[in-house]
Amino acid sequence: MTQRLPRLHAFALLLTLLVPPLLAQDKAPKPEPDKAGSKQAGGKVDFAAQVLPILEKNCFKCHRSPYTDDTGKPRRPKGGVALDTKDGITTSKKGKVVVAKKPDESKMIAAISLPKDDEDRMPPAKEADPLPKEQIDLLRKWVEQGAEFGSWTGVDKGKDKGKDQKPGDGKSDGKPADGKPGEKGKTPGKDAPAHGGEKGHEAGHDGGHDAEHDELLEVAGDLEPLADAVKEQLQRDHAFVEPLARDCALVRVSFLGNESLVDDDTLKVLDAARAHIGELVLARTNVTDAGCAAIAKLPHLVRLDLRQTRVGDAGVRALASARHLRSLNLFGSQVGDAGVAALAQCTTLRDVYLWQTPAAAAAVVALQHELPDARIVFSADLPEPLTDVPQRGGRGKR
Amino acid sequence: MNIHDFRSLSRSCDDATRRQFVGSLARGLLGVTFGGLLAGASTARTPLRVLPPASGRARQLVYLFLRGGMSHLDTLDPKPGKATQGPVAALRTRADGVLLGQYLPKLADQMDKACIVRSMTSKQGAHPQAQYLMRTSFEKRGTVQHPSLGAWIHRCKGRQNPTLPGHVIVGGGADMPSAGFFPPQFQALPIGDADGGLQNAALPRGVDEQRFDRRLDLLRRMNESFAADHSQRDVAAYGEAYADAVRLMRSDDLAAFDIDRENETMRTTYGKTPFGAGCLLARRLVEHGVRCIEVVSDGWDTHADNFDRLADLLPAVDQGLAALLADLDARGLLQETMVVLATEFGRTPDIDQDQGRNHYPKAFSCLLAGGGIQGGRAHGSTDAEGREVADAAVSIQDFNATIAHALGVPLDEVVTSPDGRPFRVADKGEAVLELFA
Repeated sequence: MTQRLPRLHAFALLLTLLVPPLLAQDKAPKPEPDKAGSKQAGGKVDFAAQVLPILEKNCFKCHRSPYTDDTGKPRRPKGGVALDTKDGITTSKKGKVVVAKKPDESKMIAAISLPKDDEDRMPPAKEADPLPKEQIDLLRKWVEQGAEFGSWTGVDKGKDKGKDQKPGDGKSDGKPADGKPGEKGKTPGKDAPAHGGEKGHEAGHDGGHDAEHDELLEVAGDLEPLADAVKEQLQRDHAFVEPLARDCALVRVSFLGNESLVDDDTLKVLDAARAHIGELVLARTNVTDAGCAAIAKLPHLVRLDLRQTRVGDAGVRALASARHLRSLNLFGSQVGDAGVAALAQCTTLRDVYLWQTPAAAAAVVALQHELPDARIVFSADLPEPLTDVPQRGGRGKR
Repeated sequence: MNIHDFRSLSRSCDDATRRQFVGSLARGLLGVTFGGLLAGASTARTPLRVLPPASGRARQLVYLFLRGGMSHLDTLDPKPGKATQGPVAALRTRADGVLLGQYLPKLADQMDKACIVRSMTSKQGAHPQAQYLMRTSFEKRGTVQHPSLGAWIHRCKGRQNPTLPGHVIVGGGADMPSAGFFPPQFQALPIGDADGGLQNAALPRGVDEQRFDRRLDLLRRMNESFAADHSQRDVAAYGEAYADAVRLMRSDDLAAFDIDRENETMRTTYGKTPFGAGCLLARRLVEHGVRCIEVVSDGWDTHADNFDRLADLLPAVDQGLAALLADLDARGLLQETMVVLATEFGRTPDIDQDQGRNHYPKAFSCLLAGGGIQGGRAHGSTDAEGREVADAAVSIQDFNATIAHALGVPLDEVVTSPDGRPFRVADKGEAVLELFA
């Protein structure tokens, strides 16, 4: 009896896994244009008229391209999924939100079809009820029909209540905003009181950091904590091992203070901990291109710091195959145009640092085009040098 | 030690070994240190408590302290058009709707990276007490020396770089609170002048490595019996201090302290001022993995000629801080480095007959950047004339709790001082979570 139970469970599980696709196929037969037209009103689903309003009403609050909200706080799409552009819907950090003609591979359809109390259901259980069945069916039908957008490519930013101003647009021009006291009522400070306050708390801060933390937890999966013996061995081999994030088995390994002792051979010591290394700091060490192949094979590497190393194009090309790499610091390395171009393949990248490398601006621009959501830092926004040093500055007496 | 302490410690030591656990417990609570001279890098480097926050990636702290009380109205919280504003105009910044005083134009261009806290408030209006409060979260008392925030971070997170000190204070003099009742190895290394770097780190003239080794050996033999007879933490710490110093003297990392290795452009980009040099040194130490670097600037107690004095003082801060933020960002280090600009209190909105402003703890401003802080905004506000906090008050303890939280120091961990009294990193302060991205 006790032995049978698991089998029954397995069977039930199999059923639940199989049934939804079966049902789905039943419900929506292949769209023969004429038949579909007669059976379901409207025939071919019109994206702009029928789908977009549903997305607008239910999804855009969280899933829209980066913008600045009323409080001046920059917002990013939640979970890296933006649904207000065609590109956003067809590709995203999280994989394919919509796969034309394949509703069962489309994460959007999966997410809206989850049970009411499922925590992954969209819109989120905490904020809204599930979409009505007709709307779910309509979206599914739209995907089945090929997920065509017509002429739509994205929400027209101009129309969007002026919220899309970038933080940089208000760049200081070095001129006083309000020269003389007495010009009451015209002060920018008064027109735009600047406080983050509760609004930001309510809508915002969970979005950013929890998403990053969630990603780390997702990458770690059900990894067991790193064994103490391995940790101690690493420390003996000049590594410093720290946990990467709360409740996460991934670790950060750095060699600060021992850089001169670290070269490609040293990387072998990482093997014992390879599944656990989420962040690797090799700044100013002697690692070279040859070592990068081994680094790229670390299965859960999320952040890599190769600041001021001799790593160049060949090494970076090898790194581009890393599966979860989110942050790559190549400041002061030898990477050039070829290496930068190769990074386009690494679609998980979110932060790339390329200041003081041989890479040319054109290559960086091309990469930015390939990785539109990544922050690629190529130059430093340094202030003009201070030439006129104030005589009494910093002296004074308490 | 009461039950509560034990529970909070054991909870947080999940993945430390038993030996580490017992060791850290003994070190932290009883003030015992193991090993003395023999203690190699590994014990010094093992993080005592490891709890990185979900929120930020901050691993290091640069804490810029303007000693004397910076006027909030003339810097981070201008009130253009109001009688209390005086002659200092306001500037638009790269953060929409956030204004700065006219002497901070370069910081204005970096405001997308920083968040001003405009609703700081405290009740302590005397310099030594307020400085102590700001840096330790506790009122100054005769009976106990509280550890500074930097020492808490150092103790909790360990040293990333085994050769360099975990905590460095530039320009503050030796009287800055640091280790407090923590064991002496958490005492900060004071650097008098960033331009001079680390003094007395080279071997004396006429002493070569061999002779130096013989001297060290002699010292060790002389100390041996004393250390055996007096196995106290301070004796052991003395030995460790020597070992640390020798390790540092012989290391490549000594170069981290030498800002002369930076080119002329970088020097002038940070500004050739004591504060600018301090910021540049801080950046070098961040690159080398020093946990906590404080840079102290004096002269902010502007009782007379406030406006002329600020015109002299602020350009150095504007330049140094703007350069630091931009430089750390371009090097990919700003996300893991929290940069703080703090002062002990603000200055009176009312301008007195000497064109001065006086002590004003009731409402003032500080600034946070990096380490997971959401830039491009201001948190909280003061009323129209900058007299009272109007919105989202932040106490000094809350402010310190926010920094501690970002760096992964658990706010609820209770550490008992050698005389048996319980303390937490930011006393009863609560982190202002909405500041994080």
